[in-house]
Amino acid sequence: MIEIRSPLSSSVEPGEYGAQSAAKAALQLSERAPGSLIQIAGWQDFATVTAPALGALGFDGHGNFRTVQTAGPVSCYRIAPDKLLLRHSDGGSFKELLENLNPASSPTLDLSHARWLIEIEGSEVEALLARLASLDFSLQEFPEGTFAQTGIHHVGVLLHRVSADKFLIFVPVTWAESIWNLICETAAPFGFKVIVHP
Amino acid sequence: MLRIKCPICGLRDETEFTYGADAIVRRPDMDETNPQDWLNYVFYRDDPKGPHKEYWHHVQGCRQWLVLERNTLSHEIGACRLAREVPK
Amino acid sequence: MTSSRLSTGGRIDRSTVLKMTFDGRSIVGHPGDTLASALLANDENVIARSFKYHRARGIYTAGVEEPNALVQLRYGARTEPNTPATTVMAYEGLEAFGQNAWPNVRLDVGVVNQLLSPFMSAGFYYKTFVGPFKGTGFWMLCEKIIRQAAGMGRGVTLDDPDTYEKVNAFCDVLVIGSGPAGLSAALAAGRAGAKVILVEQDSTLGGSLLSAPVGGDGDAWLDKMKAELTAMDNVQILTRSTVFGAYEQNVYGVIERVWDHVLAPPAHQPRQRYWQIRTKQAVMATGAIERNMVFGGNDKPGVMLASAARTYVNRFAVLPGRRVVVATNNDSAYAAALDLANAGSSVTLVDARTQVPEKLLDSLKASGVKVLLGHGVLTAKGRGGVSAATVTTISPDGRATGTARHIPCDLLAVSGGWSPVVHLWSQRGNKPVFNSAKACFVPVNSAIETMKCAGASMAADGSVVAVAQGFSAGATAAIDVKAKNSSGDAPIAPKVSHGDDWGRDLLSINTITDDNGKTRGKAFIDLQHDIKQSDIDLAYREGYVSVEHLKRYTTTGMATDQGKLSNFNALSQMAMLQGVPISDVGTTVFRPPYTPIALGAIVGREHGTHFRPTRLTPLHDWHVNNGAIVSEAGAWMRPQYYPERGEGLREAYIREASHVRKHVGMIDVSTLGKIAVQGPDSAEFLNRVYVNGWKMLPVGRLRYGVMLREDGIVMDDGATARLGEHDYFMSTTTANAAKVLALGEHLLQTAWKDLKVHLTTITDQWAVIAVAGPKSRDLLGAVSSGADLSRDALPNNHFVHGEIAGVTVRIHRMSYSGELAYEVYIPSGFGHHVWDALISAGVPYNLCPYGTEAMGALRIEKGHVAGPELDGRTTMKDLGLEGLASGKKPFVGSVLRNRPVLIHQSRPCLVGLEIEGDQGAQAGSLLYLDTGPTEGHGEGWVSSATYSPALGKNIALSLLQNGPERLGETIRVVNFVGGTRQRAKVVSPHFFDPSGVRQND
Repeated sequence: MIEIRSPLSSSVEPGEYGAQSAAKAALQLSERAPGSLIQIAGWQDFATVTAPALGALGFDGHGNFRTVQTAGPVSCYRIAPDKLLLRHSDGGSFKELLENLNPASSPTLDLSHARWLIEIEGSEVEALLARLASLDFSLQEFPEGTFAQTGIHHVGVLLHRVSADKFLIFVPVTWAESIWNLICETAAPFGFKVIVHP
Repeated sequence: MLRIKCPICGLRDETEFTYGADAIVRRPDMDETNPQDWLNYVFYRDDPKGPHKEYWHHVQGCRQWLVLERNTLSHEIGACRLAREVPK
Repeated sequence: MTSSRLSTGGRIDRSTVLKMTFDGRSIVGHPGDTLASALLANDENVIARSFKYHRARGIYTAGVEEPNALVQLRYGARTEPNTPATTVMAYEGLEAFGQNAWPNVRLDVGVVNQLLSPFMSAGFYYKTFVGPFKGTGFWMLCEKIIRQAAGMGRGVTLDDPDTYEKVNAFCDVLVIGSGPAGLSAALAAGRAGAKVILVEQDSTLGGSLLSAPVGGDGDAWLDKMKAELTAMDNVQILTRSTVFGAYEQNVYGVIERVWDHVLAPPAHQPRQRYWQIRTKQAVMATGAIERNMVFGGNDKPGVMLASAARTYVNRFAVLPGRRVVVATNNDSAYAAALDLANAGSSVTLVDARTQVPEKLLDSLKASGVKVLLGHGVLTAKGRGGVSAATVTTISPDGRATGTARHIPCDLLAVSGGWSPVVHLWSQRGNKPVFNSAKACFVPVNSAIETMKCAGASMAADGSVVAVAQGFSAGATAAIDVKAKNSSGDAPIAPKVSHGDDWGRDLLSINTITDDNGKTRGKAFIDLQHDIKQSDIDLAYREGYVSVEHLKRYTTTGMATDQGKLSNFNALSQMAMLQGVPISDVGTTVFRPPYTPIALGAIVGREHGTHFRPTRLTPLHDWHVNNGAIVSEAGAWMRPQYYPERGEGLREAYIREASHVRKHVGMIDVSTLGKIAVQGPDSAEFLNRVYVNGWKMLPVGRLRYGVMLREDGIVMDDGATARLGEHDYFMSTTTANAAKVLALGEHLLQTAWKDLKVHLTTITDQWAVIAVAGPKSRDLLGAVSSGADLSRDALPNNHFVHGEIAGVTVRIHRMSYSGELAYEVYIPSGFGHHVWDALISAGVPYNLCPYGTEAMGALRIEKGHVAGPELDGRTTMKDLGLEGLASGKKPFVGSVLRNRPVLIHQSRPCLVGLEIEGDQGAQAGSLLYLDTGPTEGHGEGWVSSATYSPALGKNIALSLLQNGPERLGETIRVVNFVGGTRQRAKVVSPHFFDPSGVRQND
């Protein structure tokens, strides 16, 4: 099994950066391979056509445009009226799903290599994101388990709030280094730690 | 700064969108051969002062094309709908 | 203790002494001081020289309206020109310099400009440029000298060492200003539970209350308000922050001066922060700015707004004058006179009005202030600074009626009424209305549903009304945003000195003249731009009567203060000249920013490497680690060439291109745009967007296609492969990927809703390596498995799947270089791995990576068009691609491409050029007949040029009128920019292997 190469290979260096923060780790930055990503598209009767396949994965329909549906290691993001993005965080295959879908009515597309994940965590996570994207990141407006597609530095990204103080950012791989570097610069006034997941 | 209420993503800054074109003009059918119809579509535009409809593309969001009502004089924003749901 | 500092009082921290310098001289101040108050405390009275006449100028105000005391703040890379000393907080180590003077503001040689003043009247530049001197060497010389003499501080060309950041914020109610009205508004909205942001430009909350004597009722009131506001989690307070712009849909721009009040920001901290605040409701409680009066010498050091004098005494414990004349036309200056007298000055108050309530007069008399009613100041006397005021009785229209007499003084404090700060409300596209009783322009409170105005910005009748208005505005705003709680009862307004209702019985005269209606001496309207009353008069006589014309002709109100003091006086003079009410003259339009802002703050972090985002291919690290010179291609960084020892660009690309033709080379082409086209109607979609036919393309094949814009001009080209029944893989040029995708989505979501097709960008999903050269098949055959690459199994425009180093890849056979060539498509995270495998396997085949420069040379040799030819002006016929277009079906642009202008015979068409001599041609050069003049636009242009290693010649692609019919002709190639002229032979653009033997091998 060949390991997927991170687009941040030459940028991510564990350590502490920026201002000395009094609080314990105001911000932690890290990266993750997305695992398996697949897009399902469709047309009329999108919901009906995709329901059995999604049901087999444990999802009750294709959901709304804000809520992340999760079933075990798989999360489902409804990114457009007739497009879903599924992520298998373990990198597991979507073989069964593919078998359950007819390419003529529900074309699928492997995007596992098209995105990279940047994870930001810590007490200042809302403040950091407010400096990167023009969304209201308060818990009230952006609760846990929701997502939004927006722009960071003119690049389209998907933000997923995993918990009160943790976000996942789905970044197109070719922009990843540029976005990572900008996030680091923006985080410097808070002080931040770059960590590497085992 | 305009704020546009994307029917899919919610109220967003104009910077997430790109301006498309006049949404009043209608593209001729593919098999239309009269050049005048195409000239009208490509080059001729009214320049209304007041309410207007225009296409905006939510490129940094759901990538849907939208039909937005905007007052060209006051920048007042009216209804915003998915272009695909607006009848021809 | 410095000489003008009072021994007690002030809102300053006397326990700390701040050492600063002005023009190299030491001055001291305390925390709480501004640079202006410290300068006054240190008896620095001449701060700057004026813009045109180099007149000595002092401190005129205590706020953002300051027209005179502009300094060059800091030095080196942190220097900042034109900074009002009144807005700079004092800090240890502050260094400021007087501006616009040489050698310094005290002794300025440029003062001779005053002698030239008759030549520098309104419309000075317009007139002199059309006069008899126009275009002459004499005028050019004069202009240079005048431009150098006029002007402001000096900008800096060094990089800014500080950082700035932008932050997005959201709230329910934005309250702008923290005087009595703003604090009350924030309290009402905050208590109701709305999410409130309160913004104050000053370093501390309080607004006008800060100018009242220390220890008064205002202080207690302020403390109570602050305590209640800061205890609320839903109220955020920003001080040192200016709301500079009000935009559509309740978006406001704010600059927070986070670390401007220290020598340098702490490590990693931004100097300034640009807040973009999106709110639901706003309360504008921006107060009002006092106006000066127009009389001779009203610009001299020692002339100051009465309210500013009061601020310096009470807030900063600085006595700005010992012998003071206060000149006013309204009640507000009485408080200044009183506080100055109580601080030890001897004060004479000159009121233009003849009737004043006894209560006001009694309080002044008790403090020893002399009051002259029905009087005005005709001139300020003195060299360098004010030494006396010439005072006379005046008529109700401001003309002298009696004999003038001198009253010696060192401070002349003036109040000509007040101007509400309506800027933000006006920026939203509204015109304020004239309130003739109070002689000022005020907002119409109902004009903007989501913006409420309160307090002095509405010309409220004093603090009691301001508090009531503010509280009501805040409470209403909270209801409008559906806040849950009640705002409770309004606070009881603080007891402040009488006279805070400046609009009461104000006498609307601002100019004091001799009995002939003329001001005595130079009487300034716009102090910063040196616009005199007589300049307004001249503009009127010359017909510039519209306010917008007046402003541009005289430049009044166009300086860095944007006429905060002067606009009203300019308008009122124009109204007088026209004999109409001031409301008929109207106002000019206010636009952001309210006060000057640093561009760095708007830019935030988007500069340098983050000027725009950078896009890197999955192989980028390899290129960098192996010595490639990378260059920008749009947002991408691409390897331009891989120099071997000592090579420059030219040697390297010639070597690389020759190598490809001899052996095998590979290049990273991951930047190609890639779009998944999926769905049952995909073939129909392709048939519509490409000029050629797609219905018959079988699975396993790919095809080159050209797309037009709707207007018939060529937009893009590229190959599309059919991966499955309903599944196509489109490639576009690097530059046009986003454009093609957006157009496709547009058509599918608007005009072609009936087509079942989805488009998705997959540029990021795939790394792409082009392998080209006679040995490419051997190399790929050796390194891959599971793919039959033989000529028969995989001819051009076919693809197969195979495996390289354990990675499943797709191999397209197609050539851009004219050699036997392939494109290898690899999931991007494995791209680096496969590239490495190719490098290792390539050793026996003499594999060499090549860059974009060699790629360009190879494609020019083949006559393939690229970006420089697809320049948004060319048609298929121009580019020799006409044959591709299908006549059997309509496609985007198929009708309009036949517009007469696009099919005209004389259009420049693609040809090749062989350049004579050793020098290559420059792209952009113009083409002319070999004999004849080289004038006008010529007969065509060079689009791409290179040295051709295969031909051993300098060649170029160009577009030439009737080009294809002129093969063999010699023409001239002229590069007007570089100044070179060459001759060239017109040839076919297919320079190398025109029959395509090599790529079809």
